Amino acid sequence: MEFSEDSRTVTLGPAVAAILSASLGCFSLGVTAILAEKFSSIKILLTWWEHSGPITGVSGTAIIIWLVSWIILHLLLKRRNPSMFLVGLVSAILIALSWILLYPPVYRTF
Amino acid sequence: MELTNKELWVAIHGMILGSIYLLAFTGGFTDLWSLKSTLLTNKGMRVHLRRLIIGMWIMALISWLTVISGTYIYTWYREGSQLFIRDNPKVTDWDTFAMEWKIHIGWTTPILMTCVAFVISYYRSAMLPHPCLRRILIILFLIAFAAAGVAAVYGTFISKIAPINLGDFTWNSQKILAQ
Repeated sequence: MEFSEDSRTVTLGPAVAAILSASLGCFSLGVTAILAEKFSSIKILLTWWEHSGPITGVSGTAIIIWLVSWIILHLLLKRRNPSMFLVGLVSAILIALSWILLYPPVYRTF
Repeated sequence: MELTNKELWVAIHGMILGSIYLLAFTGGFTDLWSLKSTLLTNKGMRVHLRRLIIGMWIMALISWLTVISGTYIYTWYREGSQLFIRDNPKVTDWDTFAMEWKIHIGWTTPILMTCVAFVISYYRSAMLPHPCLRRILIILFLIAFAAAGVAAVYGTFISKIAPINLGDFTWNSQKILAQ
Protein backbone atom coordinates (compact mmCIF):
# COMPACT_ATOMS: atom_id res chain seq x y z
CA MET A 1 0.00 0.00 0.00
CA GLU A 2 1.57 3.25 -1.11
CA PHE A 3 1.48 6.17 1.27
CA SER A 4 -0.11 8.33 -1.36
CA GLU A 5 -2.91 5.77 -1.78
CA ASP A 6 -3.63 5.59 1.93
CA SER A 7 -4.90 9.11 2.38
CA ARG A 8 -8.35 7.69 3.16
CA THR A 9 -10.60 9.60 5.50
CA VAL A 10 -10.82 7.72 8.75
CA THR A 11 -12.44 8.50 12.04
CA LEU A 12 -10.37 8.42 15.20
CA GLY A 13 -13.04 6.43 17.07
CA PRO A 14 -11.35 2.99 16.72
CA ALA A 15 -8.04 4.41 17.99
CA VAL A 16 -9.81 6.10 20.90
CA ALA A 17 -11.58 2.83 21.77
CA ALA A 18 -8.27 0.93 21.74
CA ILE A 19 -6.45 3.54 23.84
CA LEU A 20 -9.19 4.05 26.43
CA SER A 21 -9.87 0.31 26.84
CA ALA A 22 -6.14 -0.43 27.30
CA SER A 23 -5.94 2.32 29.92
CA LEU A 24 -9.06 0.93 31.61
CA GLY A 25 -7.47 -2.54 31.57
CA CYS A 26 -4.37 -1.19 33.35
CA PHE A 27 -6.53 0.68 35.87
CA SER A 28 -8.64 -2.41 36.59
CA LEU A 29 -5.42 -4.33 37.24
CA GLY A 30 -4.69 -1.88 40.07
CA VAL A 31 -8.22 -2.01 41.45
CA THR A 32 -8.44 -5.83 41.46
CA ALA A 33 -4.96 -6.07 43.03
CA ILE A 34 -6.13 -3.84 45.89
CA LEU A 35 -9.39 -5.76 46.30
CA ALA A 36 -7.45 -9.04 46.46
CA GLU A 37 -5.11 -7.55 49.07
CA LYS A 38 -7.89 -6.02 51.15
CA PHE A 39 -10.49 -8.80 51.18
CA SER A 40 -9.49 -12.41 51.73
CA SER A 41 -12.73 -13.61 50.15
CA ILE A 42 -11.88 -11.77 46.91
CA LYS A 43 -8.31 -13.06 47.12
CA ILE A 44 -9.66 -16.62 47.19
CA LEU A 45 -12.09 -15.79 44.39
CA LEU A 46 -9.25 -14.42 42.24
CA THR A 47 -6.96 -17.37 42.86
CA TRP A 48 -7.85 -19.10 39.62
CA TRP A 49 -4.80 -21.35 39.82
CA GLU A 50 -3.42 -22.31 43.20
CA HIS A 51 0.20 -22.60 42.01
CA SER A 52 0.36 -18.93 40.97
CA GLY A 53 -1.98 -17.34 43.51
CA PRO A 54 -4.32 -14.35 43.05
CA ILE A 55 -2.28 -12.80 40.22
CA THR A 56 -4.06 -15.25 37.88
CA GLY A 57 -7.46 -13.77 38.70
CA VAL A 58 -6.19 -10.20 39.00
CA SER A 59 -4.64 -10.30 35.52
CA GLY A 60 -7.47 -12.41 34.08
CA THR A 61 -10.12 -9.98 35.30
CA ALA A 62 -8.17 -7.03 33.91
CA ILE A 63 -7.90 -8.75 30.51
CA ILE A 64 -11.64 -9.46 30.44
CA ILE A 65 -12.46 -5.82 31.36
CA TRP A 66 -9.99 -4.58 28.74
CA LEU A 67 -11.38 -6.75 25.91
CA VAL A 68 -15.07 -6.25 26.74
CA SER A 69 -14.64 -2.48 27.10
CA TRP A 70 -12.68 -2.41 23.83
CA ILE A 71 -15.55 -4.09 21.95
CA ILE A 72 -18.17 -1.82 23.53
CA LEU A 73 -16.17 1.39 22.98
CA HIS A 74 -15.33 0.36 19.41
CA LEU A 75 -19.01 -0.12 18.58
CA LEU A 76 -19.93 3.18 20.25
CA LEU A 77 -17.14 5.31 18.81
CA LYS A 78 -16.22 3.85 15.43
CA ARG A 79 -17.91 6.62 13.45
CA ARG A 80 -17.00 9.45 15.80
CA ASN A 81 -14.03 11.76 16.19
CA PRO A 82 -13.55 12.39 19.92
CA SER A 83 -11.09 15.01 21.09
CA MET A 84 -7.64 13.39 21.18
CA PHE A 85 -6.54 15.81 23.89
CA LEU A 86 -9.35 14.63 26.14
CA VAL A 87 -8.62 11.00 25.30
CA GLY A 88 -4.94 11.50 26.09
CA LEU A 89 -5.84 13.16 29.40
CA VAL A 90 -8.27 10.42 30.49
CA SER A 91 -5.81 7.75 29.41
CA ALA A 92 -2.96 9.43 31.30
CA ILE A 93 -5.05 9.65 34.48
CA LEU A 94 -6.11 5.99 34.29
CA ILE A 95 -2.56 4.74 33.65
CA ALA A 96 -1.06 7.00 36.33
CA LEU A 97 -3.65 5.67 38.80
CA SER A 98 -2.82 2.11 37.80
CA TRP A 99 0.90 2.72 38.52
CA ILE A 100 0.07 4.31 41.88
CA LEU A 101 -2.39 1.56 42.86
CA LEU A 102 0.03 -1.20 41.83
CA TYR A 103 2.87 0.22 43.91
CA PRO A 104 2.99 -2.23 46.85
CA PRO A 105 3.34 0.35 49.68
CA VAL A 106 0.25 2.09 48.30
CA TYR A 107 -2.04 -0.89 47.81
CA ARG A 108 -1.17 -2.21 51.25
CA THR A 109 -2.44 1.02 52.85
CA PHE A 110 -6.00 0.28 51.74
CA MET B 1 27.10 -28.60 34.06
CA GLU B 2 23.59 -28.49 32.68
CA LEU B 3 20.39 -26.46 32.87
CA THR B 4 17.56 -28.02 34.85
CA ASN B 5 13.98 -27.70 33.65
CA LYS B 6 13.41 -24.79 36.05
CA GLU B 7 16.57 -22.97 34.96
CA LEU B 8 15.64 -23.47 31.33
CA TRP B 9 12.28 -21.77 31.90
CA VAL B 10 13.95 -18.95 33.80
CA ALA B 11 16.22 -18.48 30.79
CA ILE B 12 13.26 -18.52 28.37
CA HIS B 13 11.20 -16.11 30.51
CA GLY B 14 13.89 -13.57 31.34
CA MET B 15 16.98 -14.04 29.22
CA ILE B 16 15.28 -14.85 25.90
CA LEU B 17 11.75 -13.36 25.83
CA GLY B 18 12.39 -10.48 28.22
CA SER B 19 15.71 -9.56 26.67
CA ILE B 20 14.37 -9.64 23.10
CA TYR B 21 11.55 -7.29 24.13
CA LEU B 22 13.91 -4.83 25.83
CA LEU B 23 16.38 -4.96 22.92
CA ALA B 24 13.60 -4.39 20.37
CA PHE B 25 12.47 -1.27 22.19
CA THR B 26 15.04 1.09 20.66
CA GLY B 27 14.17 0.03 17.11
CA GLY B 28 10.44 0.32 17.77
CA PHE B 29 10.81 3.70 19.43
CA THR B 30 12.94 5.10 16.59
CA ASP B 31 10.49 3.88 13.95
CA LEU B 32 7.49 5.23 15.83
CA TRP B 33 9.19 8.58 16.49
CA SER B 34 10.15 9.03 12.84
CA LEU B 35 6.71 8.14 11.48
CA LYS B 36 6.25 11.54 9.87
CA SER B 37 5.29 12.25 6.28
CA THR B 38 7.87 15.04 6.11
CA LEU B 39 10.72 12.63 6.82
CA LEU B 40 9.92 9.83 4.37
CA THR B 41 9.28 9.30 0.69
CA ASN B 42 6.27 7.28 -0.46
CA LYS B 43 8.38 4.16 -0.94
CA GLY B 44 10.24 4.79 2.30
CA MET B 45 6.94 5.16 4.16
CA ARG B 46 5.70 1.82 2.83
CA VAL B 47 8.85 0.00 3.99
CA HIS B 48 8.87 1.92 7.27
CA LEU B 49 5.25 1.08 8.06
CA ARG B 50 5.64 -2.60 7.19
CA ARG B 51 8.68 -2.89 9.48
CA LEU B 52 6.92 -0.94 12.25
CA ILE B 53 3.75 -3.06 12.13
CA ILE B 54 5.65 -6.36 12.11
CA GLY B 55 7.96 -5.14 14.87
CA MET B 56 5.12 -3.93 17.09
CA TRP B 57 3.16 -7.17 16.78
CA ILE B 58 6.29 -9.21 17.52
CA MET B 59 6.93 -7.07 20.62
CA ALA B 60 3.28 -7.48 21.68
CA LEU B 61 3.48 -11.25 21.20
CA ILE B 62 6.75 -11.50 23.11
CA SER B 63 5.36 -9.44 25.99
CA TRP B 64 2.32 -11.76 26.19
CA LEU B 65 4.55 -14.85 26.20
CA THR B 66 6.74 -13.28 28.89
CA VAL B 67 3.91 -12.52 31.32
CA ILE B 68 2.13 -15.82 30.66
CA SER B 69 5.32 -17.83 31.19
CA GLY B 70 6.08 -15.76 34.28
CA THR B 71 2.63 -16.26 35.79
CA TYR B 72 1.72 -19.80 34.79
CA ILE B 73 5.05 -21.61 34.34
CA TYR B 74 7.47 -19.76 36.61
CA THR B 75 5.56 -21.00 39.67
CA TRP B 76 8.51 -22.72 41.34
CA TYR B 77 9.35 -19.36 42.89
CA ARG B 78 6.53 -19.88 45.40
CA GLU B 79 7.86 -23.32 46.32
CA GLY B 80 11.45 -22.48 47.17
CA SER B 81 12.82 -19.01 46.59
CA GLN B 82 9.86 -17.22 48.15
CA LEU B 83 10.09 -19.34 51.31
CA PHE B 84 13.79 -18.55 51.60
CA ILE B 85 13.21 -14.80 51.13
CA ARG B 86 10.29 -14.62 53.58
CA ASP B 87 12.25 -16.62 56.10
CA ASN B 88 15.01 -14.02 56.20
CA PRO B 89 14.09 -10.50 57.39
CA LYS B 90 17.16 -8.98 55.73
CA VAL B 91 15.79 -9.77 52.27
CA THR B 92 12.02 -9.95 52.83
CA ASP B 93 11.42 -6.74 50.84
CA TRP B 94 12.56 -8.55 47.71
CA ASP B 95 9.37 -10.58 47.94
CA THR B 96 6.87 -8.24 49.59
CA PHE B 97 7.89 -5.22 47.52
CA ALA B 98 9.96 -6.17 44.47
CA MET B 99 8.22 -9.39 43.43
CA GLU B 100 4.76 -8.00 44.19
CA TRP B 101 5.38 -4.91 42.07
CA LYS B 102 7.02 -6.88 39.29
CA ILE B 103 4.26 -9.46 38.83
CA HIS B 104 1.51 -6.84 38.78
CA ILE B 105 3.06 -4.02 36.76
CA GLY B 106 4.40 -6.48 34.17
CA TRP B 107 0.86 -7.28 33.04
CA THR B 108 0.31 -3.71 31.81
CA THR B 109 2.99 -4.16 29.12
CA PRO B 110 1.17 -6.64 26.81
CA ILE B 111 -2.11 -4.72 27.13
CA LEU B 112 -0.48 -1.42 26.09
CA MET B 113 1.68 -3.05 23.40
CA THR B 114 -1.36 -4.73 21.82
CA CYS B 115 -3.12 -1.35 21.77
CA VAL B 116 -0.16 0.35 20.06
CA ALA B 117 0.26 -2.47 17.51
CA PHE B 118 -3.47 -2.47 16.72
CA VAL B 119 -3.75 1.28 16.17
CA ILE B 120 -0.70 1.39 13.86
CA SER B 121 -1.94 -1.63 11.88
CA TYR B 122 -5.48 -0.22 11.63
CA TYR B 123 -4.55 3.28 10.49
CA ARG B 124 -1.20 2.82 8.75
CA SER B 125 -0.32 6.05 6.98
CA ALA B 126 -3.85 7.39 7.55
CA MET B 127 -2.69 8.32 11.06
CA LEU B 128 -0.10 10.74 9.68
CA PRO B 129 -2.47 13.75 9.62
CA HIS B 130 -3.05 13.17 13.35
CA PRO B 131 0.21 13.94 15.18
CA CYS B 132 -1.60 13.89 18.54
CA LEU B 133 -2.47 10.22 17.97
CA ARG B 134 1.17 9.39 17.20
CA ARG B 135 2.29 11.22 20.36
CA ILE B 136 -0.18 9.25 22.50
CA LEU B 137 1.08 5.99 20.98
CA ILE B 138 4.69 6.98 21.73
CA ILE B 139 3.78 7.67 25.38
CA LEU B 140 1.92 4.34 25.70
CA PHE B 141 4.90 2.58 24.12
CA LEU B 142 7.26 4.25 26.63
CA ILE B 143 5.01 3.32 29.58
CA ALA B 144 4.88 -0.30 28.37
CA PHE B 145 8.67 -0.31 28.23
CA ALA B 146 9.00 1.26 31.68
CA ALA B 147 6.74 -1.44 33.15
CA ALA B 148 8.78 -4.15 31.42
CA GLY B 149 11.95 -2.49 32.72
CA VAL B 150 10.69 -2.58 36.34
CA ALA B 151 9.77 -6.26 35.94
CA ALA B 152 13.10 -7.12 34.30
CA VAL B 153 15.31 -5.30 36.78
CA TYR B 154 13.58 -6.71 39.86
CA GLY B 155 13.37 -10.16 38.31
CA THR B 156 17.12 -10.17 37.74
CA PHE B 157 17.89 -9.10 41.32
CA ILE B 158 15.44 -11.60 42.84
CA SER B 159 17.03 -14.40 40.81
CA LYS B 160 20.41 -13.34 42.19
CA ILE B 161 19.18 -13.36 45.80
CA ALA B 162 17.13 -16.54 45.61
CA PRO B 163 17.75 -18.64 42.48
CA ILE B 164 14.74 -20.56 41.22
CA ASN B 165 16.28 -23.95 42.01
CA LEU B 166 16.92 -22.99 45.64
CA GLY B 167 14.15 -25.29 46.82
CA ASP B 168 16.01 -28.25 45.34
CA PHE B 169 18.89 -27.85 47.74
CA THR B 170 19.16 -27.98 51.50
CA TRP B 171 20.55 -24.80 52.97
CA ASN B 172 21.24 -23.16 56.22
CA SER B 173 19.82 -19.71 55.65
CA GLN B 174 21.22 -18.22 58.84
CA LYS B 175 24.68 -19.44 57.94
CA ILE B 176 24.40 -18.00 54.42
CA LEU B 177 23.21 -14.60 55.69
CA ALA B 178 25.86 -14.49 58.38
CA GLN B 179 28.60 -14.74 55.77
